[in-house]
Amino acid sequence: MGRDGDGAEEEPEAGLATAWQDGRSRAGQRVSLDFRGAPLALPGESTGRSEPPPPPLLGLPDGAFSRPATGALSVPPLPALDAWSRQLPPGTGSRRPSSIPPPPIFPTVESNDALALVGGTRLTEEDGPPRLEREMVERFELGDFSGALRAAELVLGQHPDHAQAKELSAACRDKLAALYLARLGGGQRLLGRVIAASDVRWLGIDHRAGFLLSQVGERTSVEELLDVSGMPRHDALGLLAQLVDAGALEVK
Amino acid sequence: MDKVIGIDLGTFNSCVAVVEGGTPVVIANRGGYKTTPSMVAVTEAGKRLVGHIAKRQAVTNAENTVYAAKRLIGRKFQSPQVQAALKNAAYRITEGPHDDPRIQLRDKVYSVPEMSAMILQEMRLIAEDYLGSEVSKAVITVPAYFNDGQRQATKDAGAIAGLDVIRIINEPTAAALAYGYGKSLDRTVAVYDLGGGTFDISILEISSAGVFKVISTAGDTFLGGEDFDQRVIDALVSGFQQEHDIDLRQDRMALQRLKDAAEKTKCELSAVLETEVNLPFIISSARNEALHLQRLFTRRELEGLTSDLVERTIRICEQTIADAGLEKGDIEEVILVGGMTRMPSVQAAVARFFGREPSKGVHPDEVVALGAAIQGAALLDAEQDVVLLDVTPHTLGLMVVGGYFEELIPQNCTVPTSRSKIFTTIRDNQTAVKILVMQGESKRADENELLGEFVLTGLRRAPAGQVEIEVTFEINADGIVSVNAKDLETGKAQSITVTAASGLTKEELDTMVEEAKGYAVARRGDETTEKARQEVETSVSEIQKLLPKVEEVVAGSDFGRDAIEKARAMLERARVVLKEGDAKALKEQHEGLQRTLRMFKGVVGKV
Repeated sequence: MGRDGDGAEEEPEAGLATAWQDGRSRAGQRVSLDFRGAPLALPGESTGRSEPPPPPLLGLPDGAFSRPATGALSVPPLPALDAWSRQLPPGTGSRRPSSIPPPPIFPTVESNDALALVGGTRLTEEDGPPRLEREMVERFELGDFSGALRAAELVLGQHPDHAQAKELSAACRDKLAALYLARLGGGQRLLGRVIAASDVRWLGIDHRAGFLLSQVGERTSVEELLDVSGMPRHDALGLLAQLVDAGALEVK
Repeated sequence: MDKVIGIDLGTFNSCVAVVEGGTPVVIANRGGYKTTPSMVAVTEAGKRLVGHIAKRQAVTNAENTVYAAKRLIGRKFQSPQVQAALKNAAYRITEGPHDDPRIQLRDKVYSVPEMSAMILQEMRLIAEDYLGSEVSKAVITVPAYFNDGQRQATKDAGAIAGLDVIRIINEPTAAALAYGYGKSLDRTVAVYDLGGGTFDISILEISSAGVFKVISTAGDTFLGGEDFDQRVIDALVSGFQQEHDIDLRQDRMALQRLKDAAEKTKCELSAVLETEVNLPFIISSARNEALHLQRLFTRRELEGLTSDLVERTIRICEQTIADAGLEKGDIEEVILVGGMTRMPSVQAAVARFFGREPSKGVHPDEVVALGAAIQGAALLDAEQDVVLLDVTPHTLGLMVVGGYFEELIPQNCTVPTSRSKIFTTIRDNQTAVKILVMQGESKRADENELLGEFVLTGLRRAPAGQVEIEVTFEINADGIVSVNAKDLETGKAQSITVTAASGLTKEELDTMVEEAKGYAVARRGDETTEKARQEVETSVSEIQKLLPKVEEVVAGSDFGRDAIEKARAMLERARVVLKEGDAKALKEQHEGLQRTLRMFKGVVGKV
């Protein structure tokens, strides 16, 4: 899409990259520009290109725990990930370089919910309880408990007395709590802060994770943090697991 | 010999001490802190939290966290203090079956002595952990203004916690006792006690004969460190609101962090001139943008924000000295009690008012518990001659015609004491008189507290004013009040012993004692399991470390192969037992693991 030729009669236009035709600037001489990037578009105008893929979500991807819901609970060891969910070579820690502001480790509101991402469509008015009910059951059967929980909560949002959704959401919370707890090594495990106070800002966490992090003392167990969190158990455990993954906390 | 612990059961913080080898020492809790927040909470899962952990979730679980139960203990539900607490407390206060306040936590209702008992039980466990043996006797301190009902309720709390409360003593008396311990002093001292939630000032006389006499006491039950923290919080909230248009008080997690930070800032500013408040990710904006709170706080700023609070304490001091009939110059020493007295502006204000530097010889957080421990040791050891002369916290008297209150034993009168007064009949041929025993400072009887009543009958028939009745009030060393009325002509007498009531019946008390015992046993059980679990985990880890080395050693021969296989099997069993978490099985497993570990160490050691 670049404009070639001498372009002597044309006004220079701003571009993503420019290059002097001959590599030198000459006083009083017109210059032509070589576009190497995508064309610029006005607001509302289509660029004719597909949107860039969304940035990967960090922390606990839904698939991380995907396994059948039946049978004894067993948690295979997860690969060591850095704060950007990149797999680390064996033996390396998961500390975040403090000098680079990382992307958020949690999904933001703008990233829409997990269901929309998976389905590739936005929820519409027609997406009523029947579809969500199916979705929550399927996800639960697949072992995607966070997805199933989300679906169950959406069903409960429309039908607060929905018995199956209630039962399923409780089961999902229990399953998620057990999974997170297993990742943390149990309720009696001590957690320690491994990030300097000055570096905390560079973590892409939200205020709930910030609160939990602030409650970690020299000898604080997972159970103690759950007691002081004031959050639902599975939420607090999920945040703690993510803080460990982000290199902010270590399990002693 | 049994040890007696001294407990300073404070409104916001408690402390426990014991005399060991003639020296009083404060006992630190498991977290290493010498004071424990007087807070109790029940989590969503029904777990009881006491002390620091309860404090750390006090905002996020406000409706199920009890603090300042001491303000309610021994009071009637309709009393102004309880009604004020009803408006201010985040936890639910309900009316009990005996016109007493009760506290609802989750789905259970507790009496106030039960709540205090939970704190006392925690202090007892701290002492038992330190001493390595059971503790059953205690001296507990209470504010000097506590009435009989409040003292009895505190005793009941001790009983529920499984403690035999051998003496209740006044907090300023305990402080003076610790201050004068081992010294031969004849002094008039002022005890300025600014704690977490209350302020008290007491004037005492200490004699070289070991006599400690409280001559005047006063205070404010709603003035303390909490108010200072609140000023810091307000300043932080206001600054943040100006910058981001967000009120941090609306978010419980943010408020909890602010409270913690405010207390920390206040404490730090006692030592340094400025400090930074840094609370990253304090809240998320409506646009899901994480916001941070960071600002510098100076000592000057803190002093400016709290100067009126300090001034309030000084005005109370002024009044108390006047009540004692003293001049400021008569005070020969000022003892500072309570964590807030570490604040330089408080120390400066006290020094300015009394015209002398306060004593630096005692630790403000520990001095009351130390005094209680000293008194406890003295009560157990007859050879020690520490004598405490306490005073009556309130005026005692009876109701007379017109609904007025007639004083017999004045406020601040040293106990034990006895006073008599002659009364006459008011009607012709009156054959009986009703004696209403009351306590309080109002001239109107109905504004004072009724302690008990009885009727003296069989008076001779005579015109009004001719029959003389002598009424005698007596208070013994334990503060028990006896009242006797005698017809001076016939010698006919009637008497009553006023037994303080805490608002609990004997049956209720017995049930609470049993429940508390059950909790203590369960908690000790949890601790035993946890200890065994840690021991097994440590042994497993050590064996695993040694295993490759041992395998290497025995690789060249058949000898020892069995032992390695057995060790592997034992490690596998240990992992199963760890998962199950049974204390007995863990203990058995630990013994086996220890044997294996010794053997492995022996093998590796030889190499």
